[in-house]
Amino acid sequence: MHIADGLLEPEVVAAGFALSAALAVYSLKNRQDREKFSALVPRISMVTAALFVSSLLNIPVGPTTVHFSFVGLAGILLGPLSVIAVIVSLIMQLLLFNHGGFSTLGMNAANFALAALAAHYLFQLRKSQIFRQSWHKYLAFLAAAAATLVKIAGASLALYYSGFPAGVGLSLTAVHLPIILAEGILTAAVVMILLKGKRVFIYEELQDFV
Amino acid sequence: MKSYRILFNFIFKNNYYNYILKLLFKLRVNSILNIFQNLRQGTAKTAALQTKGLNKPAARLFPVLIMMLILPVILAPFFASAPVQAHELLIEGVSEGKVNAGFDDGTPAIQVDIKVYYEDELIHEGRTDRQGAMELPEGVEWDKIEARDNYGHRALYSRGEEEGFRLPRWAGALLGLSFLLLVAAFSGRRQK
Repeated sequence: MHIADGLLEPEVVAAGFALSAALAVYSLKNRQDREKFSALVPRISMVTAALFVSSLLNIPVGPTTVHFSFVGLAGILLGPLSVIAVIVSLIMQLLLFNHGGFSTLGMNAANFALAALAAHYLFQLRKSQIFRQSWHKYLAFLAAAAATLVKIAGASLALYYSGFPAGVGLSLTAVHLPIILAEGILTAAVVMILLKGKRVFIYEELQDFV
Repeated sequence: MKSYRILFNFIFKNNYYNYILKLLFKLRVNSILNIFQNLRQGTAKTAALQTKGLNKPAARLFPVLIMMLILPVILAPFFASAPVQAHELLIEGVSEGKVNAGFDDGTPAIQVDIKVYYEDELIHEGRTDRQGAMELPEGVEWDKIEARDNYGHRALYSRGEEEGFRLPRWAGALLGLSFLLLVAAFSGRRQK
């Protein structure tokens, strides 16, 4: 869901850049100390690589095509640091694939970053007593699905405030249903495999160990 | 349904992931192995990690899983007509009085709004049909055509303007991945 150049009003463009800058600052404030952060750089790079190429995997749905983003998986694996991964991958997609646009980069980055953070915080709910360990896979599915929905909601709001009809959110959600399901299932599978190994790859655990 | 079937077959019924991974390890591609090693070392700052996670098979799967997400996309162009497409709306040009719009994988852009301008004045508008084409009125003068749909895609086409250099998708993907893997390898090495 990359919004192309020329579709957003200047106020919305400015709001997008401001929001993404605020999220980047928030992310960097969460980077722990310098040494620990640099220990995570290889991991951030690898997740960024997955985000970067995932948008090439498209499914034609109705009159348009939709693509994977794995933004929920990035949020679960990197926590607040996923904002950095998202911004870098979007810049690279713009430069190398022409996805999105320079003027809409801020809004696209803000949507993707909010989606990743939503997945991260939703997956943190697994620590609650309510959720048994066997339910974690469902929580991972929900986190990834919710991330895609947050991304769509953000893009829909931006388009709505730029003069698109109010139904744009519904049509975007409808065409993204296959992606929501597929990303949910793939994310749940990856997270379940990673959780089986002493939980060192999910962000929260990294804080304790690294 | 056909496209889902192709996607399903592509993801689940191809066994070349294993083949490629085996090949990579067999050939001992040093840079890739280094990245995997650095990923482990980067996270193995404490003894707690080494004892708790890294000797477990699941823990070693992390880079492999990420590579499995990446590999299908990179390799797809080399394996027949898999549904790998870029995601950009394009106006492919005007021929025989028709404006043709499509995505850059070649699929037609259906029901896309087209606006035709001459000296910044809107002179005609309409929608593309199932072939992604819209007929222009006869004898109409135009210098700019805009296409947009309801999903955040937009394209502009100007008469006489040559299309700039466009990097092939596979080259862009390889370039981007090389950069990111280089960062992973380089930053991991600095930890030693």
